[in-house]
Amino acid sequence: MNKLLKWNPEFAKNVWLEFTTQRLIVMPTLIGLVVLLIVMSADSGARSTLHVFSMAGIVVLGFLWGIKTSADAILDEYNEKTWDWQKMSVIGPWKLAWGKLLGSTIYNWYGTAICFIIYVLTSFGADDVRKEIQTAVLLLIGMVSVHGLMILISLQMIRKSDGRTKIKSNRIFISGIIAMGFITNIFSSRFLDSFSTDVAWFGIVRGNMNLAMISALFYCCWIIAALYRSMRAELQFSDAPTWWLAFMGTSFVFHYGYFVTIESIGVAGGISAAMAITFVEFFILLYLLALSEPKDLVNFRLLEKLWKAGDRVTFLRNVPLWMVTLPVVFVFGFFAVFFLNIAVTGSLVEEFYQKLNLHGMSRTYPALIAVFGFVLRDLGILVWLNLSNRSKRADSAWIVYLLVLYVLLPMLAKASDLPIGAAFYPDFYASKIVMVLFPVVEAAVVLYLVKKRWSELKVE
Amino acid sequence: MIQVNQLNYEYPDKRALEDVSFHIAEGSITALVGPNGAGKTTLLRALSALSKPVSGTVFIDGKSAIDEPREVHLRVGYLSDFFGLYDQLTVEQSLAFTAYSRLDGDADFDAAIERAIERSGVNSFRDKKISALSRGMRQRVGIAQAIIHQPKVLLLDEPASGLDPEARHSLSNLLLELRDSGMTIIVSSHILAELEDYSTDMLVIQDGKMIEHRTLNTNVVSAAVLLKNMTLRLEHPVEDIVLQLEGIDGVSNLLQQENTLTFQLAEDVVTKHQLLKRLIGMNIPVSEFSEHKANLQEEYIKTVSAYKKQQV
Repeated sequence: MNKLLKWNPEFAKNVWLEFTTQRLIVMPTLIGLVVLLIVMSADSGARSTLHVFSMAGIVVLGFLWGIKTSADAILDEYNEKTWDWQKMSVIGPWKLAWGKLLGSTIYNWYGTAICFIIYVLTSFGADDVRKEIQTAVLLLIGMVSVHGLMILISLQMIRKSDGRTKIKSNRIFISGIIAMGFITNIFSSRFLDSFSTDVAWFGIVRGNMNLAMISALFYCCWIIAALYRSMRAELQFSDAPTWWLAFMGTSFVFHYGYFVTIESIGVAGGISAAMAITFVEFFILLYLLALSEPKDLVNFRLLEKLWKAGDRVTFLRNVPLWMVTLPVVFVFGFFAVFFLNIAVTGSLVEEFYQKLNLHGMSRTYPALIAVFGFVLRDLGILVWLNLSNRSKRADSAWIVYLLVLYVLLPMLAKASDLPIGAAFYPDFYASKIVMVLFPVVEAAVVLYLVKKRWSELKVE
Repeated sequence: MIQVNQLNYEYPDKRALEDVSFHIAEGSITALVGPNGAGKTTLLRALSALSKPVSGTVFIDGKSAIDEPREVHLRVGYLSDFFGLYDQLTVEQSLAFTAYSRLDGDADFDAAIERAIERSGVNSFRDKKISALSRGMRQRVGIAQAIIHQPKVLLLDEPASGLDPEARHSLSNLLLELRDSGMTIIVSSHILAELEDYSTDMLVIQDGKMIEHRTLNTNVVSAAVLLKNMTLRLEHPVEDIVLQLEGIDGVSNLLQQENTLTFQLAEDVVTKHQLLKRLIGMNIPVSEFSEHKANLQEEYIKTVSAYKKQQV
């Protein structure tokens, strides 16, 4: 045990906590009994039944239970006040990240490993053995990704908390289930089989399963990298957001890889498409980050102080990621449109944009300005709410505001036959002036309100 | 050992610390006192480099808690009021985990664990699970974890809260022993009786502001030697009485004000006997010979009352 402690104390501690003699015996016994039951009761299809059972075992033990365990990995420490010990330890962020990622879920991995062995053994005899095993490997990569994501989200939650109230893992659990659905769908070969594409990533990786594998690995690596960076921040190392920018950059390159060999869209079309995908990807992440990162007055004051003092390095070390993401998302959006406008006429990409009524120089830029305007308006509302005296519920209030602005009011407008959709969302079918005017005015009003509230605020 | 300058800490809804500045000397035990919500825990967390202040500086043994938090962590042991223990581990497992996570790779981990066990007095229940321990035992394990890396500074947040009298007494002795071994200690509490037995200094904090920091008229010297504050009243003033008593071993800090003499006396029978023998031999007209206990409660109330008057 001393060797394990020396190698990774966090992992060793989790082994102590998770692996009691009783638990070590219970897991294989239970799985063994179910296997025995299947073998004894199934007449001829025992292999395929066991195959399905083992896959279900991986999903239940590795994913569903694993999501809960990994979500609790940090939150339990935070709630039981043991996290301070960890923060003061000499364990480096890399060791701590792996110790948490694999250590907290070690019992889930134990059960999953048994199911995985059954799955591999029962794959022999299937139509495509290689594909079956690849699917299982994809699920294992997905497991690491989802567990990592859960730990990341819980780290974000403790950063936002006041240190006095306990945090429940229920909300994270729900987001984990959503992430699991997304990941298992994306990684599932059956899902990919529904597309008959002839895509080769950078001309190297071909075939749906291989493409799924490379996607899974790409995002898994970045989740682990994000976990490492988040641990660094927790352990009081301060870093500029270089890794986040690198993630954004490599995401574009990664997406571009899918368009390299599609001759019909040309280089500009490929860049435009990759930029557009990256724009959408980080557009979603921008809203999620804005929601999950701390936005209290103290942080903003610190940033203001650092900016005014001209201390750009410390400013960048403290700036929240949503603020970093915002301008970069705008850049991706701008270049997606720019390259679209110089792309080969009649390309697949342009056809796609034509369907959105966005073809031609004259409409794409106003549409982009409309999107930017609404983003600024939304984020402005979020900051405005967080700067209020009742900032504890600001984030949930923001979600309600967005639902009202993007769903309820447009539906009311439509029911009343009022042609004012452009007032609530980027309406690509409105006239160019109307498309731009509403979001820009709304953004300006909200930003004015933020500035007003900021100047009024005084610490008690 | 601890240098704090113009420290400000803000929560979104209030300022928790406002322009707090103080210096704490090596080898002292400082009682950090103040009402609930005064900012004691926030201050201790800032000193431990666990929370970053908005402005100001904190130096522990010359290392900045803001710029070099990891260096400060090496020098500080911090015990929160909840102790923060893993219930499902045994005492020995807890200490092994702490040793391997707080000491660098070349350290003698086994020796560090044994030393912490011995100093904190947890040997008799080292094989027990934390969940099976009483609050007093848990507190000792917490302290053992906090001192396992032999920090120069030990910060304890409400360590005696909820302890029975025996456990409190044993905590007092433990803190004095740790102080004797060279640690500088800050102990926070809002129950002053807990701190009276071992504190050498008092730091009063109220509404996030430091309103008093001074050395106490203390009777604490070390775990081995305790000094008592004594008062001697005379029927009439006696000339040169200070000079006559100064030579006695164990008698110090003599101060005469008319017919009252105050001094510190080592708490051993021989010294007391020597002093009484000398007083009788000199035919000193003693009317009262009594011990005057330093009362932290009184000192605190005085300080807070003065602060409140100032505020009005």
